[in-house]
Amino acid sequence: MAYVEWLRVKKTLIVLSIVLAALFLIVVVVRISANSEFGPGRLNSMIGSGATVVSTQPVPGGTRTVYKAANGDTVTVTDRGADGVSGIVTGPTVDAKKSKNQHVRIGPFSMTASKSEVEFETNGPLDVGMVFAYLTLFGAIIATVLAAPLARENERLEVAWTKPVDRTLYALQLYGVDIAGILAAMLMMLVACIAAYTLFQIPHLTLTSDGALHALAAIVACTAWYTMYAALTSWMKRGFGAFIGIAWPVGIFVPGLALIPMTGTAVGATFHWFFQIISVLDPLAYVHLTSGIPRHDIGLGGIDEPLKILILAALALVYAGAGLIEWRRVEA
Amino acid sequence: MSTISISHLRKTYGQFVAVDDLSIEIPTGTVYGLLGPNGAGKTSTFKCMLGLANCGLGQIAYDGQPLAPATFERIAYVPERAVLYDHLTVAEHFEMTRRAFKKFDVKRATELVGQFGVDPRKRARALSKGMKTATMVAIAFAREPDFLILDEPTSGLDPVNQRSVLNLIINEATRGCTILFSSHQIGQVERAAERIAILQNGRLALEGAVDDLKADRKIVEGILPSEDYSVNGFAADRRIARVDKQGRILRLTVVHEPDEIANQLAATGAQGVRVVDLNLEDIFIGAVAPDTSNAVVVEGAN
Repeated sequence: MAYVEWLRVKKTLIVLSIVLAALFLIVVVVRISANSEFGPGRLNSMIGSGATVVSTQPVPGGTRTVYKAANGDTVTVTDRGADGVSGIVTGPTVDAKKSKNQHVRIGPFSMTASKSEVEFETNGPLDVGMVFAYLTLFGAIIATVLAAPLARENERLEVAWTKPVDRTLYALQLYGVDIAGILAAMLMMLVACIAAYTLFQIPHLTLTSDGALHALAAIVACTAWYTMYAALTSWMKRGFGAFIGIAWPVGIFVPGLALIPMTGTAVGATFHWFFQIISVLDPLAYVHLTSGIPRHDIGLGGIDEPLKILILAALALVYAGAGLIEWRRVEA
Repeated sequence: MSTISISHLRKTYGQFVAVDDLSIEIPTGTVYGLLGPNGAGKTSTFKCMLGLANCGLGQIAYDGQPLAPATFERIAYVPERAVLYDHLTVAEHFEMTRRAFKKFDVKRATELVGQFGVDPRKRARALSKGMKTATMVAIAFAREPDFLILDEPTSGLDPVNQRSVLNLIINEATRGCTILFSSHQIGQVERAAERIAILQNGRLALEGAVDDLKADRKIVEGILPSEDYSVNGFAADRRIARVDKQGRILRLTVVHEPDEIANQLAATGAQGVRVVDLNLEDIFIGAVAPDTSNAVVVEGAN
């Protein structure tokens, strides 16, 4: 029944695959042109000029080199080739950071600073779930491309509603095909990201429970963003494109405005309250990715992942239901 | 049992009553013409019949059963406005229909659009209005439905293709298909329809078998001696339902004794007096005229 929608999804995925292929090609060019940065001499640039090699010894999977940097620090680097680089920095500049005691992790890159040393790793475990979650906004863009399937049918209800299928079931089929398309697009982007990463280092793929939750939240957020369009537009016969266009700036700026206290005046407080309420309904307001980086409560993004998933799922269901109810009331 | 039964149908848009207390029985295998001036309620009736618009009151039944999703396996509809997906090719529309319905003959659909001069590889946005209509017609007929509901199925088609569509309608009826169609081309309705209903302001103005309606009345026509000849005498005659006068040409719609009326007209000095059968156009105009209860003079009609 949802053949037309399937064709639309197929076309979108074809365009996406072309875009991804083009981006991958750019990454390949970058990788080739910056080959020296990833070759044997790369450590010199990492440590800085004036460093001297103290010792070199083979270790399982690579080479361990001890450098004496110009600033007096001792840098012990284990180069595992395509498997990445790890190291420990000790010395006067590390001692100067006594007050610092932190751990930073951005994807596979991590750095732990303690009172006496700084450890770094360029190719730690790569959480597939987190990579997937980072694609939320791109998934939302695909959701926007596929948005408003019911409103699109409104121009042709004489065809859509004279098929031997219940209208609710038909609408659910349209939703289903589109959501599957969004998921497929996100998976394609995930594969492309990992493939691009592999050009530089062999990834150590893992899937942690936290990453899985983030990935699930990403899927639900994109679904909620998609169904929000359905709720906004399913009653419209034309002009729904304007709603689709305006939803992005509203979806991004409203959560931002909600963060500004504006509590100095009654008007400001009212606006603050208003934007906070609207933010609750905005699926994009829940998109906030943290992994290793200390989490700050940035609006709704800071709430725990399971609760976030529940709220987003509820929003997705309410929006889908609202869109459906509105659509059933439309007349040809 | 009637195949399609419309009972006390009423459809309103706000305060505007589009269809008012419409009841029609369409027997199995009948070609049924729905006529009426613009805004008479034909398309609203179709939409209510198909559940495309919510009808406030009334019942629609197909073989005695109310409309349900499964009923659409047996119904094919060609809307007044050809609603194709612009980005799809004609062949993709066939594929869409094949997937949606149990019965759809792609080969026949391809043949039909070929007859209408439509290239199945073309996208809908590249088709003319007539080609779009032809595509919708082809899809509808290739489904071999039990009920065909056609709202202006020849709209935008050239005379040759209009004739083809009429032939298709007649052929489908011989197969046992029940066909309800509307058209502003009264000649087409006259050729294809066995029964007609004429709507006026949403209400049923006239309904019946075309042959019966024609047999009911005769036309007496002639050329008057002068343009200012008074026809008040004919207008007052109870045997005459309608008087149409344009210049010197007089057309009388006669209920009884047409030969006697013809003699009276000839006696006035009128030339070329003759008695002719009523055609559907006369029936239509008679039904939608403001007052048909008494003889009226319509100056400048036709």
